Amino acid sequence: MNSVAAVRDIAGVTLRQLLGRRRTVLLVLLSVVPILLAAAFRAAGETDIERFTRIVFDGLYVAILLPLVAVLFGTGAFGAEIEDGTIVYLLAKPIPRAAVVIAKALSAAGVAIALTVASAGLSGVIELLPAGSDGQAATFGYITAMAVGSVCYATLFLALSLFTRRALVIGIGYMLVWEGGLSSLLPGIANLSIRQYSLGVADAFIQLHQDPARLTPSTAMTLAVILVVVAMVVASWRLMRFELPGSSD
Amino acid sequence: MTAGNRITATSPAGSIYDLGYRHYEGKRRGRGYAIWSLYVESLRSVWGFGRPTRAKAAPFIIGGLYAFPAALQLAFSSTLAAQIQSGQTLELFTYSTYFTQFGFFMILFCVAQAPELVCRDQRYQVLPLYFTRALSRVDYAVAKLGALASGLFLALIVPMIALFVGAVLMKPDTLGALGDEWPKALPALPACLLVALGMAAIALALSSFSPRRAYAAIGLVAYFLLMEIVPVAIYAVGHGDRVNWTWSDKLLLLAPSTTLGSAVNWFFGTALDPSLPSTLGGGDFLVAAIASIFVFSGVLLFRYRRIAA
Repeated sequence: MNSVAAVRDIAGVTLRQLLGRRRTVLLVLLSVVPILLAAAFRAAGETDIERFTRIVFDGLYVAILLPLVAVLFGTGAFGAEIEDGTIVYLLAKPIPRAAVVIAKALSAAGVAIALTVASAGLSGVIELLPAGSDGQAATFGYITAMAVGSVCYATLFLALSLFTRRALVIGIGYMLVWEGGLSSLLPGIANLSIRQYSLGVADAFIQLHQDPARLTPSTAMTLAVILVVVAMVVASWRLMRFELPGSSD
Repeated sequence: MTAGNRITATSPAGSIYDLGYRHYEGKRRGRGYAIWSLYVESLRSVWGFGRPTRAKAAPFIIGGLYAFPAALQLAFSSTLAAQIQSGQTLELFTYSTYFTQFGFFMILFCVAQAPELVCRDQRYQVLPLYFTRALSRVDYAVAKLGALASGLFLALIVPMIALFVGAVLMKPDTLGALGDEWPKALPALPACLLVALGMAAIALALSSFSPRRAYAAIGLVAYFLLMEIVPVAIYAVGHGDRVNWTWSDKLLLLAPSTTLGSAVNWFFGTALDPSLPSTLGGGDFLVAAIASIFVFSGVLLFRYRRIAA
């Protein structure tokens, strides 16, 4: 089997694993909440793009929905197989480990992008498109931010899930403590915050008066690419030395 | 079970099956003891005792981070006291606002430990083993809820003790300061109990719906964060220039951390966060917090009455 076909097959199987019935219901419910909020803004006749962007796009999408969804899919791509022990069958196949990592990352990031972009796009259509070209720019900006953030979170926590079984809790801790608490206190850690990468990318489309973004679009994009490449390399390296569960636990 | 097997556990308190191979003549401690045992074991596992070091990492790191600011204030209390000299108190962190400031660590604690308590038993299908013996389904749920609430209470009370010790040491007259300080600190006990019960009820009720820890954790964090921000956002737009939704302030009573944090203020008799609507008082939040404990405990019991085992 050549690597490309292997990547395609593994990605397909992973997609099916990631979109189990209950998980999909949970996540669709989650991503509907901000859309309802957008509808409430519309019902209130709120036309202030700045306010909507700050509360819904920044406060809800970038701060909560994006990390939750992407961390869940990122840690779930390998996590479920490690927990169930089916990773044995995957690793026993003569497929380059890097190809396995790429396949898993592609499907995890892909699902995360699909869900967050669809949800953010709908919210934007409901509330911001009537607001004219600025509203359009804000919607495009935050859709791009969702895509970049999804890839970053998914690959980083996919790599981490190969080191510890509690990667999901660490991911939630990272989101609550590092990005939620500390990054407002210590501006310097913007360079090490995926949230800031996403906001920085959104800045290429729209800039607010009280902008939450601390990085310029080009810096943010560069750091995001570095993060993804490093995470993929580390994950492949780790998978080459992976000890099967049960042998040491 | 064939006709030759006798179930001789006729006493209402015990149910040790006598299969005819080996008899048991010892004491039967009964249902109450079974609940107590499950409670103790669950409380130990909340803090990772009786489990490998890896299991202790999450609760101790998160609990430690929560207590860290208070411990810092304790450590520097003598320096602070020397700087003030004139006897006035300088408090960076107070009993009544500590949870509001650092409560996100306790959310993280619930996210890490509540699924540990209830998801594994469902995933490995061991619930029938509990329910066929002295424990009833309700007993199981109550023991687990008590264990998580006690575990949270310990984590919540440590920084309160640190603040208390720090405040006493800051004064030159230690015994007098002890007498002055403890009436101020005492409301921390019922307040911590309320917060512990409130968070434990929400966390266990939501976790019990999933056998997988990952889903339970995501569901929990989503509930705690979204229910926090959505009411605030609706309240913000509902009081704009165009509309005046008078009902929108009531939504804030649904926000879990805000409600618990404001109910804590009621115990200390301190003012609420000025950003909250003036139409709501500390008493309203207290009632909402108690109501949420009952609702989520009810959900938990309902779940365990219906669960397939």
